[in-house]
Amino acid sequence: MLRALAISSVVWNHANPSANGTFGGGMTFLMMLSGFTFARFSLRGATPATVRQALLRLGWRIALPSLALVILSFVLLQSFELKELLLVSNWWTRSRIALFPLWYPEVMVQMFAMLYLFFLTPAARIALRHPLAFSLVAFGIAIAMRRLLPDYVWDTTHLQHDLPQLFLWNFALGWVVFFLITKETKTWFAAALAMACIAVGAHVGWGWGRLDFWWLVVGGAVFVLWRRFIVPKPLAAVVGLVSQAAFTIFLLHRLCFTVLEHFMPAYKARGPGMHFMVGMLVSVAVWISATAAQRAWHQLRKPEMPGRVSRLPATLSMDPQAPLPAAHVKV
Amino acid sequence: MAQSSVTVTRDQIRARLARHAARPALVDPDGTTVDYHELLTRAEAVAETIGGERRLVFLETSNTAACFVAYLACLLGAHPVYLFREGDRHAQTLVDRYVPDVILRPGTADWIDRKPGLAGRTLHPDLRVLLSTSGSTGSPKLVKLSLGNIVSNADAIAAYLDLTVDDRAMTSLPFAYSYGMSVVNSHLFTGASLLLNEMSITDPAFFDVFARGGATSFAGVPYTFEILGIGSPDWARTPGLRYITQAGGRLSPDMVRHLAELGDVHGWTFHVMYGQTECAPRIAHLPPEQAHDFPNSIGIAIPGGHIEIVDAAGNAIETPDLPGELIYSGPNVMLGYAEHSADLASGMPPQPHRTGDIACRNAEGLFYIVGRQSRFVKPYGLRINLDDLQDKLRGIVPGAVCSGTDAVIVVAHSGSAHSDGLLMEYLVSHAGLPPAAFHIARVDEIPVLASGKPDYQAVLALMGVQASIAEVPSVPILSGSFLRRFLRQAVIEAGQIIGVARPQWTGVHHIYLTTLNRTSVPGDKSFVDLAGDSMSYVQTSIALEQYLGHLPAGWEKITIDELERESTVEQAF
Repeated sequence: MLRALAISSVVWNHANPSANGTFGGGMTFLMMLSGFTFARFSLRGATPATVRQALLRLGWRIALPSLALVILSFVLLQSFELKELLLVSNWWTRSRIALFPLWYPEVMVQMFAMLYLFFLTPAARIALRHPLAFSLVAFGIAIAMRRLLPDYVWDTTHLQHDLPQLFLWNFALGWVVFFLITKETKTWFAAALAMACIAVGAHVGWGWGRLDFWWLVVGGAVFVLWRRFIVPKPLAAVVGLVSQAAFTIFLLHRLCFTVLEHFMPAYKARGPGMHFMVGMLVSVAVWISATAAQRAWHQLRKPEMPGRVSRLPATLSMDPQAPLPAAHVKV
Repeated sequence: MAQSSVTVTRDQIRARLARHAARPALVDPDGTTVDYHELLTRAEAVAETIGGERRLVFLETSNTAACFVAYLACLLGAHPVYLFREGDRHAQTLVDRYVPDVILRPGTADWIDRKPGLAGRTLHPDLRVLLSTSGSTGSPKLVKLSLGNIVSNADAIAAYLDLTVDDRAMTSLPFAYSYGMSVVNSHLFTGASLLLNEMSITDPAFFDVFARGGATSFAGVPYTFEILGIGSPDWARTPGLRYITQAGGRLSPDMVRHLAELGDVHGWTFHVMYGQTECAPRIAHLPPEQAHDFPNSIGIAIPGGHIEIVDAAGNAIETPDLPGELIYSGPNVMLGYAEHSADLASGMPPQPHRTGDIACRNAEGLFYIVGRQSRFVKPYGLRINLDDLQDKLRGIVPGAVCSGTDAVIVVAHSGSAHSDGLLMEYLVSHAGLPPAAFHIARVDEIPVLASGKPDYQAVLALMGVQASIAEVPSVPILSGSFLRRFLRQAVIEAGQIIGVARPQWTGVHHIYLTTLNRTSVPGDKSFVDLAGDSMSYVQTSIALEQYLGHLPAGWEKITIDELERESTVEQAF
């Protein structure tokens, strides 16, 4: 539910730039959620090697579709920028050719590279032995960097601070929340500490005057205190679809706006609602089509029986390592 | 070759125990401690109560001081003792068959039950311990062990685990189980101690008791580690933990590697071991430093033992990675089996033991199991007689041959494609197992040995080949027919995703294959093991909820097989 709301807020924010983001700020919540799920699937009970593998996998899964879209944008707009192709443009400028918020995959991929290097060090073993303490320390250091680096080292206001070292707090906040509210340790004190960290992060990272602050604080509090929502089935179905398609929506909604404005300029004057609806519907439709195609591919490649029936030759090597002769591969 | 028997006398056992007189032997979680002096005194008193003449004793076991005292009393009094668990459904059958002289139920008011016994019974002079080979067989067979068997095995275990008097194992397995017995033997004969416990490892209080009781190790079987892997790994940080042992079946290589790495992080070692009750029971162990690189291996022979791989003709196989039967020789190999009371009189010195397991030796000299020669397998924990199954399948498809492992049953036949469906239908409806438990392979000719008998190892090998060809589509991808089928299927799938059509998940395997976009998903793997992440978890969790009707807590760390067992579809088989 919160994931679906957060991605919707991102689309609305981009559909409605003149209103200064009346519903914006969902991205910071999504990044915290990303940190939460990373802790859940890749940090808990992990070793440095498994964390590094997870970072690589996740990095590729974000980088590859992003790069595909960057290249598509180059082709559509007949323009080229090497920094965008290398996913490092966020260190120079906010303006871009890519027809989607490129800063987010850039920051995530670069942050994963930083973390990968950390998990190569001997400190990683100690960190994983004490995951909650590690998360709190990482969050503390990251939030200090967010507070101090722009003021004392390099003023990155012109880049809107879209740099990995300045967003690490947001990702590490997800780890803190996860390790504080997991079943075994969940107490009111832990929940309060989680919300305090969220509030500190939101304040230092965004300041209370921004919607991002409120998204993180309110969304975070609901997330910490209320892990399950009961909603009517039709709404649950819609929410489930939007939630599953979140990354596709993120990648494609801006492209939808551009296409809409290019082919039907009249719609631009009709307000953000049309943009929002088109951005959401088309992105979700693309996700459904891609997922259906992938599932169909799997379905057709399955052997004819669930119990894996096959047609095989009788002559087989007893050596399990021995390669199968090509002539024997017939089904 | 280490085949000579080891002679151990009861005086030597007495001297071993007395050597550590003042040290703790048995520690109760409430703080009560029995030192070796007291243990010996109590055991001798019980031995005296049993009587001066050798008697056949049946001992109802538990992980209590009273039980271990009674066990030692039998060893010191030279009374052959059969260890059985309370509630053992075969116990009465065995009482009727062997007619024991004494039944001990330590810790109860009537702890000693004297029976008339069998007049004129002869007991082999070396016979000390009797263990059931398998509690699940219809006709239990007893393994006869000598004092030399159990002491030599205990010493070997103590040597490779580097046990010292400061070690303390928390009892975590039934004592009547050969693995549980070996933990007790190896610690008591070394002067180490036991933290008495009856709780399961999966009990939330287990590790609290472990830490408070000053334990340094525990032993587990694959199931317990799979359960431990699901929950929080807080247990891995338990203070004082020095090592963990695993035996009793194959643990998945990923889990072995994971546990070894956890051990590295938290400062303990993980020992994979292999054995059989016939060897009292330990045969091989994997040095923990090898677990990272060879997690599918059972390692090397225990100190004093020797492993050989032999082909069907009995010739030793020296070529790496060539499978054959694993033969073990060592002083811990049993005196023999007993199926009747008269068998208790006989015994033979340790002979090379044919394990019935098919194994290979790799280039590094480590052994790994690839299957079982035995015609009994236990997929999903259900004992299946492959010969029986084969006979029944031949009624459907003449000439069909069954082979298998504890993970999967392979059926080879040279019938028509139609026969595949008939066989699968019969298997799932009669064997009580899900389709994932079977491989059906159509072959031009059934593989046979020179003797003309079916070559079960070759049939088993069909499984690996099948896996490599399963990805080949049966219709050329670029053909119009394939595209039409693809588009039709995509429309069906889209309808299911949107919710206008009912999801057609055929199982958790199907869900994971699809959402994780993989070509194969082993049943012993979980979402996390299969590199599931934040990009795929929403889709997977929704699909699981659709299929199972609910989302189990901690589903991401539960193996596919475990999740399959949660489904109503599975329950219908």
